[in-house]
Amino acid sequence: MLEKLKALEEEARAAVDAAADLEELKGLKVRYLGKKGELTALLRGLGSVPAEERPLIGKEANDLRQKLEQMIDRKESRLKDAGKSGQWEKERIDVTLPGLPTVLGQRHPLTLVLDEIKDIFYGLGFQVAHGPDIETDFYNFEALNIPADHPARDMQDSFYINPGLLLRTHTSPVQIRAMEKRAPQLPVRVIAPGKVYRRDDDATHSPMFHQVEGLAIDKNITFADLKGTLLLFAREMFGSGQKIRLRPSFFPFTEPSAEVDISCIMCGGDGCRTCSDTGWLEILGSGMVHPRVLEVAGYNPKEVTGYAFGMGVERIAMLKYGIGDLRLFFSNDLRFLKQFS
Amino acid sequence: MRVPYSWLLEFINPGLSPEELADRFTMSGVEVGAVEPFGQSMPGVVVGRVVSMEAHPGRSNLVLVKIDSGSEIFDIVCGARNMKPGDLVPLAKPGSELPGGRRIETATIYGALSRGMICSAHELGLELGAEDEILILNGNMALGTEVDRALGFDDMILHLEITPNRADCLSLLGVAYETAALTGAEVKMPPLDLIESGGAIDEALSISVTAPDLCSRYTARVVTGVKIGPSPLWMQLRLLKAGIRPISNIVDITNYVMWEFGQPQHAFDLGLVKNSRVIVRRGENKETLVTLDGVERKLDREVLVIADPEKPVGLAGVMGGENTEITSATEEVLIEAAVFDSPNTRRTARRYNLPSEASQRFEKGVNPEAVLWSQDRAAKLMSELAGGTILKGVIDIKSAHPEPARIKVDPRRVNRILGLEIPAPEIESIMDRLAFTVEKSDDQCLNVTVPARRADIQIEEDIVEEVARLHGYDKIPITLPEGALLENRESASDQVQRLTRDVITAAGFYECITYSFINPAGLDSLRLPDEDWRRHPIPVQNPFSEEQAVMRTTLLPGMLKTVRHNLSYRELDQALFEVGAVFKPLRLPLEELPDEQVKLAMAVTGQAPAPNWLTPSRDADFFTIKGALETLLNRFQVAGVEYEPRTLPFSHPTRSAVILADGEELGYICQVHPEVAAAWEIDQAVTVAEIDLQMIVSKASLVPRYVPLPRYPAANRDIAIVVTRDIPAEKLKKAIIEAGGEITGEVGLFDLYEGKQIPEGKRSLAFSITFRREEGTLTETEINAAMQKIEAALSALGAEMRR
Ligand SMILES: [Zn+2]
Repeated sequence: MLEKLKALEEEARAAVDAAADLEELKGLKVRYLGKKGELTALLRGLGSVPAEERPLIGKEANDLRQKLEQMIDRKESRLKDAGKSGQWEKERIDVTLPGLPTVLGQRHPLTLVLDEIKDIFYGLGFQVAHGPDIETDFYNFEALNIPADHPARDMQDSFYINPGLLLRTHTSPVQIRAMEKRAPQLPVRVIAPGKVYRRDDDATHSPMFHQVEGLAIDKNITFADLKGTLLLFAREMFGSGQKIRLRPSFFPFTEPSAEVDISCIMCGGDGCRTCSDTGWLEILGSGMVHPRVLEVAGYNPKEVTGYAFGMGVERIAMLKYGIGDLRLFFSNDLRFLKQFS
Repeated sequence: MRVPYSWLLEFINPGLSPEELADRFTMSGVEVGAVEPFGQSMPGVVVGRVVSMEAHPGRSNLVLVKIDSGSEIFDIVCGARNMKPGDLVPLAKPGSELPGGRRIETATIYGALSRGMICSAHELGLELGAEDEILILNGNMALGTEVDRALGFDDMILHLEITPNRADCLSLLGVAYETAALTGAEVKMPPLDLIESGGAIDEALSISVTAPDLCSRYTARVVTGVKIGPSPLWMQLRLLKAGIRPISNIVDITNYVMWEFGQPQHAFDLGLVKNSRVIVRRGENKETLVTLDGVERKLDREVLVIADPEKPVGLAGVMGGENTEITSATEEVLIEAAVFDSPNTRRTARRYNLPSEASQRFEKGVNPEAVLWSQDRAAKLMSELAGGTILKGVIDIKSAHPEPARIKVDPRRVNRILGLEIPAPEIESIMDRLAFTVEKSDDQCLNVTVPARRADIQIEEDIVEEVARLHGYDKIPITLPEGALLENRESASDQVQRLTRDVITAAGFYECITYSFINPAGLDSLRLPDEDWRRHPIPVQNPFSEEQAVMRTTLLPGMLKTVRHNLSYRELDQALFEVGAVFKPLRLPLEELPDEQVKLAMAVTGQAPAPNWLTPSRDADFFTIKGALETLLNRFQVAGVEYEPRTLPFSHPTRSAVILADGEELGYICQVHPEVAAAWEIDQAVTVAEIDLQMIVSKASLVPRYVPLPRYPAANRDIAIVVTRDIPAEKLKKAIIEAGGEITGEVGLFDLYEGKQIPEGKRSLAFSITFRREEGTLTETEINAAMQKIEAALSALGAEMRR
């Protein structure tokens, strides 16, 4: 009996495949599945099958009925489509034509990097603070332990408005403003992104650029904490395999001070042109807040400590996106801006 | 600071290669930018001895020279004749190559065979002697030795990049102390023993300092009977390695000693100092001095000069005067070693544009301990190398006595700041390596006395840094700060800026960042009237150029400049924006900090979106920007926004509007007047907008507000009218809402038409009106009644209904 069912399936499949039009297909449906069709006829012979085999045969026959119905339905829609081939052809599209343009602009690459930096430090529990671009001599220099007659205060290096006001040369004055606002409460954890200005204009300097300052003040902030924070930042910014290296350095407003290098993102530390074969790239300056700075801002340096760091946003963007020329950032050339979509 | 490694070895033996030492320096705070050999190698250039010199038979200006290389005699035709038989000279054998790639071959010169060349110092890459003079190699050099080795070309030079606090490392002695701190090796002082065989100095020279505020110490020694000439080759080579040009034995010695001790010196021809009397004083107005470079300098009370009773003879700490310069006739030398005020020296050097190794050292501060060492050392060298006689004694006029710093250091605090646990004995051992003296106090603290050469060490934190850098920054652990959490949500104004960028970029605009300073001429070309505050920007006192002369009062010039820039690259379709501050002075000249207002500026030109095959292209215009701004203001749920037609100084007269929110001016949108655009060299229509983001912050609600969904279905009716052009669409819309009563919901304009079938001066508008009631379904009768009222109201405005 099973063999007969199998043979019927084979036969019906061949016949349906060969059917040339809907009329013929209709005939096949009647012939195989109709009340007087072959399947029904076959099942009439079920009585001669031993009783224990009957359920199995019944199930097989039922499956076959469904199979044949589907087969015939599919063939039917194919035959119908074929009948309308002229219309389909008229409706044909050229799938290689460009898609409907989505109008989407893009942030400036520096904004992209700034947003990324902010997001990383929001995640680390930092607040974002702002200060004015036109700053007083006091906040820009004096409060940061850069006394009058210090070389950094040379007229030739800064844009002055008058002897007491200038375009800030770094975002560090926001440290002082942030501490003054909060002292004597603890902790202080802020970053201060913004524009800064220096009297430099050549292939590697722009008279205006961007920095992000960071500051943490509390009862027991350590140099080790600074290291940990910066390592975390480097990994969030440049990838989890990043290493950092601190080298002693000098800034008037930190003591001890450190330059911070990250492992070269071009060569991974093996040495290449970008890192002058050192395997390291300098990305920021940092240190423990100088006691005089703490004092000026209203904290007792015997009781609290803090760290501070400052980074150049252009430098990070150049590394991150592989941009070779600083001046592109302020050319606002659309051919450049469109690359960050 | 260039540190020739072989010279450093005279002060200390670190037991490290130059590269290893450089690495240690960099990692402990004295960055070494490069380590490179002094000169190029020159295989085939060897030490030879002049055997004989004969005249060239054909050419009187040439000589035939025989040179012994130790293994072979070379016949050479040579143009110079400053050597004599027996002299050692550099012999470039055939096949050798000189610096600069010059290859030496055998040649026949006017009939005489020449096998190689005898070289001048310049041909070996050394700036020594005249260019056409053969370099005479004095000293005991073996014949045949490679000249590059004999002259120390393989000596490694460490290029130290010194931070402003480490003035001590501007001397080999200081570098040696730093090396000792890193390695534990011992520092050796150069020999200072000298024989004072002349008379007493007081009888030969008198000195007075009348400006002790600018000169805290002035010392002098006198050496008589000197014979001026070149200094020995070994000294010239060392100076060249240090980057200093040799001049004469006396001047070279002062520079040599400066390199050793960091103390700048000046040598005067004492015979030219009137009455042998030196006065250190402020300059006088109208006084002048011709400095060693031959330039006449105008002096005044701001500068410190060294003078004799008649005239200035030097700019203190910066450059000597021509009138007392060491010349070949000099016999008596006054050696000056002084401590000049750093800011004053810096100002003077800047003012006359005369930065030098000497002025740089005074600016950063010299080591008071080394002043007399340098005097003794220079006098000793002058007597040994220039045959001088040292007069007895030193004149030393001091007004300040710098005391060594004594700092109380608590090892527990050192560890607390660093996050380390270094035992106190280790801290003591670091102090010891630095040659800082340590005494224990009874409260577990250390009393540290710092030598005068480390003037940068003043407070406990400075000692913390010394401990950290010598222990190694790499050994400091990695931890994260503990402590209370802070509220650190983004502030409302930062959120407004972030969302503004989101919305405006999503509308197809690209963000620009332009300079905060602009050319004031840009404000003129915007035709801003005098009473407009934006016409009166804050001037920068010392700008680079007129292009960056004033702080911007509007973002518009930056936008227009960017549009022009991109048009020059044939980017015809542009949509740009910038978020940035403008600077509003409260009064001018500026006395207090100005108001920095954050603005959003936008500009479009060309087509938007850019032409494509699918959608018809359309010129970007007023409505392109308005659409984006409406989206933005909707996002911030700013209420009561109106666009009021108003001509602005720089706008197209009839395509301009100010944006009001509850009657307050948020900003403007306008097409730029074609003539204004032309002034910016923009020859296609450009539309701009500028709005005040701070005002938006005050009016925005950043959190969307839920309104219950309508429970009953709404009904829609369309109405089309023809009305004169001068009636604004907004006025018609308001009339519909008012007349329709409380069941009137949204009213949208879905068609606008002017032209055929519409009378001249009129236009056709079609509105779609939604009617809805909160409680209950509307009946046809209610809607019809509302429509009648609406039609009546529109008719009252002169509208005809179109059916
Ligand atoms: Zn690399």
